[in-house]
Amino acid sequence: MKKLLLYLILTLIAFLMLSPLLWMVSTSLSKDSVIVSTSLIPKEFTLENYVKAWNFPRIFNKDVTFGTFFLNSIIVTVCLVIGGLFFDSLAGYVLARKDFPGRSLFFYAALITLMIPFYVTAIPMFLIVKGLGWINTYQGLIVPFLSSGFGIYMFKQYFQTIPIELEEAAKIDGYSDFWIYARVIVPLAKPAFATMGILKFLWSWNMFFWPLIVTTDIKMKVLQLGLTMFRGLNVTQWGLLTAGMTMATLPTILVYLLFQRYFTSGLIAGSLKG
Amino acid sequence: MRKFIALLVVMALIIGAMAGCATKTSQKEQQPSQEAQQPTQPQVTIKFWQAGGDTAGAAEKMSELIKKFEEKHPNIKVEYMAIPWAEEPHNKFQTAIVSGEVADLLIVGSPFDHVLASSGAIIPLDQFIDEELKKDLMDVFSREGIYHGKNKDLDGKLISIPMFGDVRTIVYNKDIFKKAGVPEPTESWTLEEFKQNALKLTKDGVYGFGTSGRYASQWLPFVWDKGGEILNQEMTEATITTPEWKEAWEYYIELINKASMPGSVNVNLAEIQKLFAQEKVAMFVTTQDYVEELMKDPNLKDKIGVGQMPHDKYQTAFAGADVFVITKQSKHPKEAWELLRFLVSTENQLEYCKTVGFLPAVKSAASDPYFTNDPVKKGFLQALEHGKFYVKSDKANGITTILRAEIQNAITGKKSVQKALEDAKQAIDLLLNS
Amino acid sequence: MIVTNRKEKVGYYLFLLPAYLIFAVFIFWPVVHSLYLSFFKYNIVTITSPQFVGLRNYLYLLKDEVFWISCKNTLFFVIGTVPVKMFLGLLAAMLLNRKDLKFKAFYRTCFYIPVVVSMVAISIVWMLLFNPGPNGVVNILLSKFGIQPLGWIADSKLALPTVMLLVIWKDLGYIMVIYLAGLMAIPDEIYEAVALDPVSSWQKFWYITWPLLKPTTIFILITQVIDSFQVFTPIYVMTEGGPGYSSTTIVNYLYDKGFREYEMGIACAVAYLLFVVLLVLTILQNKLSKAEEVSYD
Repeated sequence: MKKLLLYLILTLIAFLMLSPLLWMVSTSLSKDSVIVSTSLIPKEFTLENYVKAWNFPRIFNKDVTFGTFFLNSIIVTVCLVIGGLFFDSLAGYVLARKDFPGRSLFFYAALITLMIPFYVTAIPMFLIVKGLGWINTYQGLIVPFLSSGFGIYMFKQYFQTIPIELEEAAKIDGYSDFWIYARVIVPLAKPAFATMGILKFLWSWNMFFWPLIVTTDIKMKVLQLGLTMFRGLNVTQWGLLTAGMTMATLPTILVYLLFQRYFTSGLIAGSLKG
Repeated sequence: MRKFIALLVVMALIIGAMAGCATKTSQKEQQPSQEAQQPTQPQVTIKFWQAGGDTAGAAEKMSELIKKFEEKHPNIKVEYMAIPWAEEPHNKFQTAIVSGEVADLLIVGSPFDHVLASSGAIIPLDQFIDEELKKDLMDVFSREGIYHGKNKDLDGKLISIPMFGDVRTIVYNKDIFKKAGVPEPTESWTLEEFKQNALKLTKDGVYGFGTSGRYASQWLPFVWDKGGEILNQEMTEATITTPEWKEAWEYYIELINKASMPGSVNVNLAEIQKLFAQEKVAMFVTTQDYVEELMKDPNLKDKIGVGQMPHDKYQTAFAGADVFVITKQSKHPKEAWELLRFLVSTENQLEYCKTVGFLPAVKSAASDPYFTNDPVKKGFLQALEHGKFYVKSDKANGITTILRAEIQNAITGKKSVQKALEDAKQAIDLLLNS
Repeated sequence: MIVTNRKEKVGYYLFLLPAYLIFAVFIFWPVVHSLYLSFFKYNIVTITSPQFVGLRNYLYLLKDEVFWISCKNTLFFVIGTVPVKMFLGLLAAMLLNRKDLKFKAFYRTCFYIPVVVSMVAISIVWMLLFNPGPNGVVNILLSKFGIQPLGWIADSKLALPTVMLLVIWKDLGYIMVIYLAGLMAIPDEIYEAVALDPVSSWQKFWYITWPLLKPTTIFILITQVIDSFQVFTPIYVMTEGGPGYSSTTIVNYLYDKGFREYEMGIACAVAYLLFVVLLVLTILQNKLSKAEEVSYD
């Protein structure tokens, strides 16, 4: 009986967590988007909103569809995840394992980056990116975020949980630090990589403000910016907007579902054991 | 040794990543220049950016017109770009100006042209304009396009010409009026009549006057009616602690509290539009492009009426325009003007306005039967005659924020109207002199 | 620690180089540049080159009532969300960590899904759901239960709490997962050791689980406090700071000053004050955790 109650409560919470999203999907599949329904099942089912949303960017440029935004988001996200994992884990490794002058300075520098509101750095950052000629380019969207203080911190914490004996053995055999990093540490830290990978994926996929200021060319827009197109000055097209939001959200949910089994185990040690 | 190789790999990866990206751009940048070299005649490429252009078909139509222009002027090539409103195009133009990369010709939302004029980012148009266009320009636009402010070089000069205008006036549902036995708006109805009608219409889940405290456009005409202005002529000080302002705000607050739906204090405009479409709002103040959208609904088509703003003293309507400006950084101002002049010609104005549903900038287009035979368009054009633009200060955005917050404070009863106005004045004055 | 020679130590810096080069160019230099700009009048609209004004921007903030309101709102937001999120997240994690529970993965996924959705998208959905007008989905549902409609984002008392509800809803799963990881890391033997003693589950929690979760709690607390002080997007999308200034937070104020009024100098000054507060708070929290003999470093 008590158990049943627990399931009931959990199912209710699960429903509450999902219902806003279900409502979003339902609205996107409904025919009439003027009148908002409270139902989670569309009354008149249609995919029209998706087709319209997909082709909507053609208004601005004939060659651009929602697919262009998808491609841009994918390119930016893949580069940020792979490059970011590499850079962060490299730094995290020496901070976790090595002693050298300025070690804690470097560590605190990484932590400090977490405390700086992005808006503090936005304008000078924009000027730098502009100076490099990176406006409307992929590197303008990617390079400034290739390393993150959070990633470095997470990797450092995780690497500290890996028994040092393995490394010492490799060291005695005469292997270099980079070899040890690549062949010993990285394979052992798969959960940490998966966890950070997911977090970086979500962050890159959902970033909004920076693409907003460094891309002006519609061909370079990412998905989150694409969504803003449906919100005109005077008229908002809710059907198209919810369809676009659903399309933009689907990949994040898929990626999470695919990798989630690594996710929890990665967090176990990563963020916690000091 | 191994370590050395490992480090080389690391460095190579970093350099590779950056260089890989870099080559991609340089190729990209080269492409247009190659194209430009092909014709034998000296080619001029001008950049043309439009803020907005997100109305259905607007950017497409613009591209079409530009193509026509390029055919007519084979030596001028136009690079056109439209930036949706949701991406805050003005911020983008601003950063482009700072970094010296702004386009030759811009379309901006008024009063941003006056902001650009204050910083000296644009040039006067008097040197280009011909007599014909001068006469043809609608009065409201030749009035509002003249700059007055701290940039003495541009004082009294014409700085902008609209591509199209818009105006907000009363749009109402005839059906609801009939059912409630309320006479439809006349051209000369007073504020008192308007209020009484709005109150009478508010019943059975219908709201007489759907409005929102989030937008100055919703209440400013009531202030203007009494002769109130936000700033003094020199734009150095707020002039909002007058009895006129207090009276107008009190009037509006009564309306919003008694004749508008719950939550009106900070509701999104889209929500009012939706309620009107659902026939739960009898009257609201909106622009013509939205009415065009509504007219597509067969159920609503015959019920929609367009009225004039109620007025006692001065008849006004909140107007604006999307205007052309030529930037100071432009190396080809003459060619930019050619394009501007082409786009405001009667024929192109008509063609464009038919697509986007806005109002034309020139009288010759406005007198076309397309506008005069349609009661909706006619109603909006009539309102535009009394059009008045928002405050043209470079601090307009800050002023908007302050006024919005303080009128909301007054609506929710957090402050008395007097106190809200005093606080707003203090904040605006601080802003103006910061 | 493995004994190393000096040459190897130089190698360590090369490991750090890529990440910190990017920090240097895209974070540290901009931060210094911003600090510099905070002593200038720098309106990117009205003046072309910044003018040195000393501390005037900071004095402006002291005088501007809205800045103080935004500080108060931000503090309210942090205090009202972080502990709630952490409490509910821990509760969810405890429930889902029960050995005898089935469909764990399913529940965990449901709870986590809001985390993966973009803040922009979900804020728009929230805005439609909590619409105070006759079309508001939540109000329509409430009225079915005979509850009077509420003002939500249009009520100066409820606007910020509505946003807070969104943030709690969205972040709950994230905190749950981290706590879950912390709970799973506690060896079963520890509980087995007391299995024979007559202790209540509450005592087990208070004397075993909670102390062992301390590093997790501190990690979440520090990162969440930093994040929450910088809340911006949901407010930008849903209320634009209103009604009145009732939901204006520090970063919203900063955005208004910097990117709507173009007063970069003032915006930089706001950012600096926020930065200093966060720095002090983090150092304090870090000290606290050290004092309890759980190393954060």
